Amino acid sequence: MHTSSLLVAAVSVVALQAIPAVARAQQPCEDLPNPVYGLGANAVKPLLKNLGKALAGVDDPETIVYQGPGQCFGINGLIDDTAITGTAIYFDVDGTELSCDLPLAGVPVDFAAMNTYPELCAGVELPDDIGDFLGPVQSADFIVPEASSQTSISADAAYFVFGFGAEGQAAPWVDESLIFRRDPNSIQVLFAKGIGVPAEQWKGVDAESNGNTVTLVSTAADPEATIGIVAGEVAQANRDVINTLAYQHDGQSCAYWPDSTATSFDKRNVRDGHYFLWANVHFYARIDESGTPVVPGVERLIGYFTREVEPPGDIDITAVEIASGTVPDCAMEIRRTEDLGDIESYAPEAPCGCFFAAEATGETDCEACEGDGDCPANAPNCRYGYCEVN
Amino acid sequence: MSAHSAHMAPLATLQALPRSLRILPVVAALAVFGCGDDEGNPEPSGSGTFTSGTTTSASSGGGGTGEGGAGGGTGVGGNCEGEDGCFACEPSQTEHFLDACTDAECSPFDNEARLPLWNGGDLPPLP
Repeated sequence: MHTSSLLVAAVSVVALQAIPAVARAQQPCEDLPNPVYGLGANAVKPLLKNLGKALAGVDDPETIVYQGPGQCFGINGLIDDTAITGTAIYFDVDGTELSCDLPLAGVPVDFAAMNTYPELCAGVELPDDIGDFLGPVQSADFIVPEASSQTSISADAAYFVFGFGAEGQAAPWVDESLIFRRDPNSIQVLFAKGIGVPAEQWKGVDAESNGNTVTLVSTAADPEATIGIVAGEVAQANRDVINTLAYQHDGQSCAYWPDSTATSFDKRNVRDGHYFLWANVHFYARIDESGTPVVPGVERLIGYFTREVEPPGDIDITAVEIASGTVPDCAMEIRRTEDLGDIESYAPEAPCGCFFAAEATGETDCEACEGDGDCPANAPNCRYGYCEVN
Repeated sequence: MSAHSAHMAPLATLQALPRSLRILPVVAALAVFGCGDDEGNPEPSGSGTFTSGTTTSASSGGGGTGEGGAGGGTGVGGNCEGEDGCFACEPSQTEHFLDACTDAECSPFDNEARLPLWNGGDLPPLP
């Protein structure tokens, strides 16, 4: 038992609501080069955009065709072999988001994308013929308008804001029309686990998507009273209009941003464990007995993220992940084996902390190199063009 | 003083509890480890942000990226408490990572001062 019939029935409706209001796009999706069809979290759109843009520019282009109604719709659609209909998005070689028409009879979901393990979606149990593949790490961010003076929130404060609404008296977030939540099929399930408010019991207004949350938060009439939740990818891409709040989890004496400061891009507190609210992006696909995705295009797509398949052309998937506001595995110093579970030290086989810093912030103290011979004794390993300690 | 001063709170255990019951083990941890006073809560700077002390930095535990510093070390007086109450040894448990000494900026949220329904004990059940 993994889903309700209502949930499945809602997939197409919600998906259509998430697409720009164009009845038909007039570009058949099946006519695009090597399309693979995905369904799930809209939080991963920056990642899919950057990869989709790169894949559109190679000699034998591949197209990620995607509907993002929410992460739990994705895994349920994949498990149930739901045919997605209506319109979907894809990205051209300039990174422009475009819309295409799915076949009238629908097309099966090739892969699902989520922000969490599937168990956070109500009633979902992963069957043996669907594989779970880890993508990069991203934070989950509480956001406020750029004009707000608020800089931090605690787990307890979030419990009162989103669990009680106005009755929680957690000023300045006491106007429920300005508390923007999502629904229980979205990244809200990760926040829910973090602050202890079941996703079905959240107060406030359903903003329906990450993008719409940014719009509603950034244009709210009373910035000081406004708060919302989005994926870190989306927060980073919209820093000109919203601010991420530092988060203070149970047992912490201070609240930390995902980055080392409110304005930096180094994701240091995600990478070293000071920022509690983070999880891996997950890709799900039907697999054969060897654990390989059965759809060739999906095997390639997921293989790029797991590093088992070399991307075409000169695509650097690590750089794509960093540019999208996520943290590649090689830049993590900690890891978890369940959503918001215990944190443990992690030493990736080929660390890329120097490359991460250079790409994410534009600067690094590490020495550039072309081979180990260029590196000093205290950082002898040339990785991704920089001398690493390990 | 920030209400969250339990540097040694058993977070894994806390995660398994309903949110409204999480304060009790934190208080118990404070009693056992004696880390629950103002010493663990750095005072904000004028800008509202500050760092938690840089006597040592959070170690990667082998990740060794070459950025942001690394290396464990010991805290003030030979234990694992840094000068601001941060965790100054090699982190090995979730609560260590969360409160490891770092030069990253932070912005404390004072539950006691800002949350009228917060009393330091059990959180009230959801309506």
